[in-house]
Parts: sequence; structure tokens; C-alpha cells
Amino acid sequence: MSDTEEHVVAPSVYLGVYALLITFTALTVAAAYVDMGTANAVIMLVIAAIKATAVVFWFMHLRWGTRLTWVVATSGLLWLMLLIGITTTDMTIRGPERLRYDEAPTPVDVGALWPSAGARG
Amino acid sequence: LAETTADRHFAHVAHHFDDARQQREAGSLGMWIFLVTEIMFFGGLFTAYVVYRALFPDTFAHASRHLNVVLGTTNTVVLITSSLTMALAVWSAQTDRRSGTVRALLATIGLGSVFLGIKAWEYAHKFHEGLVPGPAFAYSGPDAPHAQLFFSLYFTMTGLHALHMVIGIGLLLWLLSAARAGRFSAAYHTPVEVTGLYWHFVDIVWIFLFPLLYLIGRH
Repeated sequence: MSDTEEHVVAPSVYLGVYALLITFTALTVAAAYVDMGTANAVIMLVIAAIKATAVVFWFMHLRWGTRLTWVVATSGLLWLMLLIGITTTDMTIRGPERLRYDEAPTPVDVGALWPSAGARG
Repeated sequence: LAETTADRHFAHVAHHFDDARQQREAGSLGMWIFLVTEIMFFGGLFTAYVVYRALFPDTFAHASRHLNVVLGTTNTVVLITSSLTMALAVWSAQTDRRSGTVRALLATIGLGSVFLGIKAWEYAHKFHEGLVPGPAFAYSGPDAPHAQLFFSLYFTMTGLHALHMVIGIGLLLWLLSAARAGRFSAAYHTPVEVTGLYWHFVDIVWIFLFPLLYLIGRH
């Protein structure tokens, strides 16, 4: 029956992962009440990433997944990093103050920027 | 025609697959590909959150304090526990424990419903307190216009997450009736495994939503 074999994860392993998830949930709630400046956000995200990895590896069996499953899962993470990474890079380079609409943005004079467009209008 | 061992062995294998393993792996790969599209779907919202929180950090921190940490934490524990029972449903199906599968699925459905019940209760309170964006928005804290952004993201993200939970519970009810009818065995349980992947993904989305929405600005 070698063609039907699949990895069966024992309930004790699932319980271990569950204990880890609950522990880290308690940890993230506790850490949120301590003022650590920007470290708060970092700790919060690191804990969430650890929890997500545990779920993906054991509950979702990626540890025993095929190479193709790994490629697909990793590509999802990669595209997400591109989406958030490029957006935040753009925001940082522009400077957040230029993205805020505290005042109404000044209308752009298209004619001045692109004379031919103004001539056509 | 005499039925051979191989015929019985491959009773659940569709004719376009070589064997049970290929069929199982194709099924779970299909779900993984769908989940990648889900990552991008929620990813857009997480990106919007990152941008607006970077622009209005203090407003977001103040607005976040209007969410109930006790209920949020309770729901996190409820959802993680439902992931455990889902994983145990998969194990039961893999090891031919039919009644175990049924019980684990029932527990998962129950915990999922508890999550949605708590969420509905939270929503009702937000409506009551005037924290729903729109004409009735009656936020008393500083910078109300941008606090509306926080609550828009809160309702959109948790609302879409809750919609995924509702769909998940629908899938679990279908699995439950199939499990009761004895359709799953050690040889064939792909629907349980694949629905499990979906359920765990929805759990992961909440693992990120919970700290980002409930826990910022507590210190």
C-alpha cells in the first residue's frame, strides 16, 4: 500500500502545538500591556508569525507536504511581502506627511504640466 | 468480471488519477492554490491597515481601546481550540475512527458557532456605542474622522473573516453528514483534510487580526 501512504500526525503532537499556540496567545496579550515603544509592534508580529508557522507546519501538514505544495505556499508569502514591502517603501520614500489629507489637495494645472493637453482642451 | 483487490483498493480513485496518493496530493494542492489567492485577498486589507496605521498611529491606538480585549482573547482561544478539534477530525478520519471524526467535527462546528456568537455580540455593542462608520458615527475620542478609518478596517476585516467562518461551518456541516454516512475512511478522507486546510487558514487570519486590532495602544 505504498502508493496510499500519508503521514499521520499523532494527537499528542497536535496537543503540543495547541499548548504552544495558547502560550503565545497569553504572551502577546501580556506583552501588549507593557510599554516597549516600537518593540511592542515587533514582538506582536513575531509572536503572530510563530503561531502562524506552527499552524501551517503541523495543523496544515506542510512539514510533510510535497515540494510543489511548498512552492505554492512560499509563493503566497512572497507575493504578500512584495505587496506590503513595496507599498511601505513607497510610503517611506514619499514621507507620510505627503500622503495625509489634512488639507484639501491643490488641483493640478494639467495645462502647465503638459502644454499640448491644455491646448487640446 | 471478478473484482480484484486492486479494484477495491482504488474504489475512491477517479479514473484520471494514477493512484490514491496522486489524487490526494492534487486535492490538497488545489486547496493550497486557493489559499494563496486568499492570502492576497486579505493581504490587500492588511496593507491598507499598515498604511493608515502608519499615517495615524495615535488615532489608531486610541480607537483600538474601544475594542474588548477579554472578548477578543476569548475568541482567539475558541478559534485555536477549533483548529485543534479540526486537526483531530483529520486524524480520526485517517485512522478509521468514524465516531471520533463525527465528534471532532461537531466540536469544531460548536466552537466556530461560539466564535460567531461572541463576534455578533461585539458588533451589536459597537452599533449601540455609535462606533460604526457612517452618519451615525459618534466617536468621542480624538481625531474622529481618522478613527472612522480604523473602524472601517475593523468591520471590513473581521466581517470578511466572519464570512469565511460561516462558509467554513457550512463545509463542516456537509462533512458531518458525509462522516455520519460513513463516507470517509483511512483510504479516502481528502474532503476532511482539505476543509481542514481552509479552516486552519481562517484561524491564521485571526491570529494576525487579533493583535493588530485589539492589542495596539494598550500600554
